[in-house]
Order: sequence, then C-alpha cells, then structure tokens
Amino acid sequence: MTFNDMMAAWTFALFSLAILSYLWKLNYVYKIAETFSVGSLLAHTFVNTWTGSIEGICLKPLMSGQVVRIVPLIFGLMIFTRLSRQYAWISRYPTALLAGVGTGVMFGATFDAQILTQLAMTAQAFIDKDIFSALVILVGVFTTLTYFIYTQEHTGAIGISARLGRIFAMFSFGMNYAAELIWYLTLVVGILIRLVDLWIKGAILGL
Amino acid sequence: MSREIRRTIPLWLIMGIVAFFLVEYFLDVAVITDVKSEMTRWGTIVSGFTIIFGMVLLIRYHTLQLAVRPTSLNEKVLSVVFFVSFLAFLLVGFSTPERISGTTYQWIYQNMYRPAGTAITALCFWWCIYGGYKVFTIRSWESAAIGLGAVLYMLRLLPIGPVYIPPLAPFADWLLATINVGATRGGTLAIGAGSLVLGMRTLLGKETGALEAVKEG
Amino acid sequence: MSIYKKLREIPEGYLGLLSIVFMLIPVLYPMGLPLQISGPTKGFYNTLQNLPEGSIVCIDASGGFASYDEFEASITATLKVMLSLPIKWMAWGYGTDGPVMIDLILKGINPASFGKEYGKDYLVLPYIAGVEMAVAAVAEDTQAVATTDFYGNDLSQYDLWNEISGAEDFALVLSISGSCLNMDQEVRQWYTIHGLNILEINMACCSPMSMNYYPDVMPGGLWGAKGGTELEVLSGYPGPGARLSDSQNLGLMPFLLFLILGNVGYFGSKYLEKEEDQ
Repeated sequence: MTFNDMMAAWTFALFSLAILSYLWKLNYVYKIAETFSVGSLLAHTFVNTWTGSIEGICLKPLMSGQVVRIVPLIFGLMIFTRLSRQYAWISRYPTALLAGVGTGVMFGATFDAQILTQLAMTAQAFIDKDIFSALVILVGVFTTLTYFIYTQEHTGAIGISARLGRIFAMFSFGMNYAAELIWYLTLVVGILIRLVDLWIKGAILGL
Repeated sequence: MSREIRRTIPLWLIMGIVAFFLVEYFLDVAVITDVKSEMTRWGTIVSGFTIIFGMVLLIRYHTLQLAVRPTSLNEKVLSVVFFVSFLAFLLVGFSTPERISGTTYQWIYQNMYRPAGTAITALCFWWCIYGGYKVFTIRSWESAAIGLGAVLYMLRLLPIGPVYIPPLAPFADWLLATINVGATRGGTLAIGAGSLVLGMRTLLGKETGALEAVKEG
Repeated sequence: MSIYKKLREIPEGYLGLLSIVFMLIPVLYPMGLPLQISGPTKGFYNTLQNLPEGSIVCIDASGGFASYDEFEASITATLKVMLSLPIKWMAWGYGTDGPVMIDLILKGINPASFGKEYGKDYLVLPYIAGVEMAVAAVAEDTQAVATTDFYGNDLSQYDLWNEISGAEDFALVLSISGSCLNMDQEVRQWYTIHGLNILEINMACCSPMSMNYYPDVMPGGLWGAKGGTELEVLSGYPGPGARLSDSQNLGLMPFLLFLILGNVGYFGSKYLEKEEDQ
C-alpha cells in the first residue's frame, strides 16, 4: 500500500466511524464530522454553481458579446438585497422571475405528461398485458384517485372505493419502504466492505 | 406607487412569464421559442445566484456564532470547523483550471466528504428497521398491506430470496407492475391535477406565497 | 411484564448489533448467490443495443455522491455497454455530483481501451443549476448552456459538441437521478415536448414510483446496486456490483426475525387482554 492509499484509508475510516459513533449516542466527535461535511458540501456546491451556471452561462457569454445576459446578472445580484430589511422588496423581482420560469417550463407539459400519458398507459395495459393484470391496474388507479377526493365525504360507494384505494396505496408504500431499506443497506454494506478491505486488511494488517 | 413597485409589478411579472410560456407551448413560432429559451437560461443563472445566496446565509450564521452570539466554546469550535472545511475545499477547488476535476480536489472530496456523507445517510438504516419493527404489526387491512408489500419486495430485492423461494421473483415483479403501478399512477394523476391547479392559480395571480415570504422593514 | 409485551419492546441496540453481525458474515465469507435478471434491466440493455449506429445519447446526471455505492455498479456497467457500442453520448449534471461520479467511473474503466476518444465519441459537461429549468434549457438549445466542459476546456474544439444543437440531435435520454420525483420532470421536458424515450438509473427506493412509466415512456431502468449487478451479468462486463449485492444477503434477516417476534408479541398481548376481560 502506498502512503497515499494509507492516508486515504485512515481518512475514510476516521470520518466514517466518527459519523457512525452516533449509533452509540449523539456526541461531539459526530458533530465535528457532520459540520465538516456541511462545510465541504457548501464549498463543493459553490465551486460547481459558479463554474457551470454563473461563469459558464452568464459571465463568459457576456464578455464575448452576448449583452442580453446582463439581465439575469442584475436579477441575480438583486437577490442579495434580501439581507437588508429596508431593500428586501427588491428581491421580489428575481423571485418572480424564478417562480414564473419554473412554473412556465412545467405547466404546459404537465397535462400531457402526468395526466394524458398516465391514462393512455392504463388503457395500453389492456393490449400489452393479460386482462386480469390490466383490470387490477385500472381498479388501483380508480380507487386511489377516489381516496384523494377531499370534497366528498368518504361514505357509501366512495367510502368503499377510498378504503380499497388506501389499501393499494399502503401496499405501494410497503414496497417503497423495502426498496428504501435496501438503499440504506447498500450504503452500510459499502462502508463495511471498505472498512474491512482498505482499513483493517490494507492499512492496519498490511495484507 | 410604492405598493405597485413592491408587490403588484412582481406579481404581474410572474403572470406574464407563465402566460408567455403557455403560449409558446401551444404555438410553433420561432421568435417566441427563441425568447422562451433565453428566459429559461435566465432562470438557470438566477437559480445559481439563489444557491449562492443560501450559502451566504449559512456563512453569516456561523460568523455570528463566532463573533457576536454568546455561545459556548464547543459551539464556537464547530463554527471554526465549518470555516476550515469550507475554505479548504474552496481554495483547492479554485486553485487549478480543472477546478473540481483536479486530482487534489478529488482526493479530499472522496476521502473526506464521501465517507461522512455516506455514513450520515446510512444511519437511517438502523432507524428504519427499528421503526419497521414497531409499526409493521397486523392491526388492520392497511397495516397488513404495508407489511406484506414490504416483506415480499424486500425478499425479491435480496439475491437470497428468489434462490430459496423460486416463485417469489415472478410474483413480486407482478405485484410491482400491477398493484404498485395502480396506486402510484393514481397518485401521479392526483399530483398532476394538483400541479395544474397550482399553475392556473399562478397564472391568475392568486399564488403569492413566494412574494409574501420576503419580510420588509 | 408478560413475555408478549417484552417481545414488542426489545431494545433497538439488539436489532442494530445483530444486523451488523449478519451483514459482516457475507462481507467476510461471500455467498456467491445468482441473480435473477428483471424485465426493466433487460429492457434497459436491449434499448441501448438497438440504437442505430452514430446515435447520440444525452445523460442527465444527478444523484448524490453520498449514495455512490448505489450508483457505482449501474453507471459502470452502463458506460461500459455504451462505450462498446457504435454510439456517442454527452453527459451533463443537473445535480452537482452527477458529472463527478461519471468522471470518477470513466477514470476506472479507461474508454480508450474501447477505442473511444473524448470529444469525438463522448463528452462530460459541468453542473447547471435550475433542475427542471436546466433540463428544459439543455433540451431546447444545448450549445447555449455551456462554454467549457467539466475539465475546464473550451467546448467549441470538440467535434461531438458541434454535432449537438438540441433535443432533435439526441436518440435517447439516460437519466441518472437521486430523487424519486425527477422522472416526472424528465418525462415533461424530454418525452412530452420532444418525444424522446428515457432510461433511468436511480436508487433502489425509487423503483416503485418509476414503474409508472414502464415500459412505454421508460423502456428500462436500473435501480440500486442490484440493477447494476444485473446489467453486469447480462452484458458480460463484471464490476463492483456483484460483491455489494452478495454482501446484502443476510443484512435484513434480523429485521425479519424481529418483525415476526413483534407480531407474535402483539397478537399474544391481545389474546391475554381478551382472557383477562373474560
């Protein structure tokens, strides 16, 4: 193992075990490691954002003649007026730009993507799958939708449908929970593999 | 006039932009599309400044912790740690033309941030399993459904499940493709309808939450 | 306290400790169990294989570096498959860590060994802020959203960059996402407006939600380390997934045991309460 690899293994082990010490109890070592990761993530985000978004799309094109990019530069700088109570109202303009553009890019396509496409795929299931599976999907879609009706009391037929929809939803939540558990398990196993291979076997035992 | 400049004009700006984007979606006119594309790029640039503003707030918080607020020594040390890590990564990040793709930056990022970040997320494993143990009791049809869905899909995702219970794989895949899709598709449709309502309210100037969040002196 | 009540209140330390012990067993003594390849993985592989020669794939990369273990196997296997095919690709990030992960994996797999050249066959762009706004901007006019690549080099010198103007030049979108809600935005910006299908690489927890779009909009997907391992097996390119997937085998067994004990405790307590009432 080279010196570089040794340092990497010990640094990795130090930070991993500092955070995992939380399992014993919340302690100061954990807080230091957590604060360190927050500071490093902040710097990472700053470097990325500056390089990609501000330098890449705003400043460099502005310097090379695209004068129109002065507008977002001014709007961007206006956000910082929020730090002053007296001039905070100025930051409403860049907020308005963001809210308008953010809503605008998704508004037009939402009906097509999240409503029409979903309905089309539910109908398509009757062609692509067997009739039983397609019916289960249709019943699931319909009953889950009735569960989200808040303007009618869930009694009678709507009540039965909403209850069935809730059971469908709970089944899906259970699958989501299982998949989330596998995600966390992957991360834990990844840490254990690296601690065993790189740190214990590599750096400590020299294998 | 003051109220118009401070509140009304920003609201009109939102409504105007949303209306313009909607017109562009339905009309295929080159000039309108070009203007819309340019405004979308403005949105990405202003988003970048918003992210940096968030950072400024966090830096301000730690500066006040160190210099102004009557905090304990432990809290002050944490703020020092924050500044040390922030400045170290910032200096290394900007020190070479390759920025974050440089060798030194990648070393510190992978050996310092990555293990801490991974371990913080991994901690959720233990809270999740203990929560599951407490909650997944078969008290009702709903809790039975959530427990059954969890156990079946969990065993499907682990290699050990389909090896020792061969029918598990096709059955769990079928559950994922039918019962799960039925529920999530219903949820997606509901979210889509909600998004449309939100978009309409924004277009009509009734959604003022983003503007109201700005506190004035 | 009755035995049933005790079964319902076992301290969390026992569960946590048992889980770690069970996880360590396959780490130290691999079990080597086979994987069953799922339909979405086959769809993912076949979609890439069926791309015409010279097609360009747009990789929208997000995902947190903290969850790198979830993505490593999938991205590694996918890039190996794509580099072995006569297609081109351009990656960019709407999350800060997307291009970082791709760059890290590229260093490990050496694209030159597949006969591929940077700038001619593949490109890595930097992070662009704005999430859905950034996706929309890339789809509409790709050349207007970046001037330098991830490594700080001027993009205009690259042949591939000059071939791309927007969505009309892409044959397929590959979304590497760290959120379960990103698929909706990808569908809005790529499929609905430009008619492009989307393949997904995501964390395991997002597979149930992404199945909404399978197979018409999303012909295939890889979720978690298991998805990556399946693609490794299917494509014949071994990678880091096999060890990770194998080591997960026993980690949840204590949880399942405690689940059974908890339910035994619950029903036992209920039965005792009924007996006492009578």
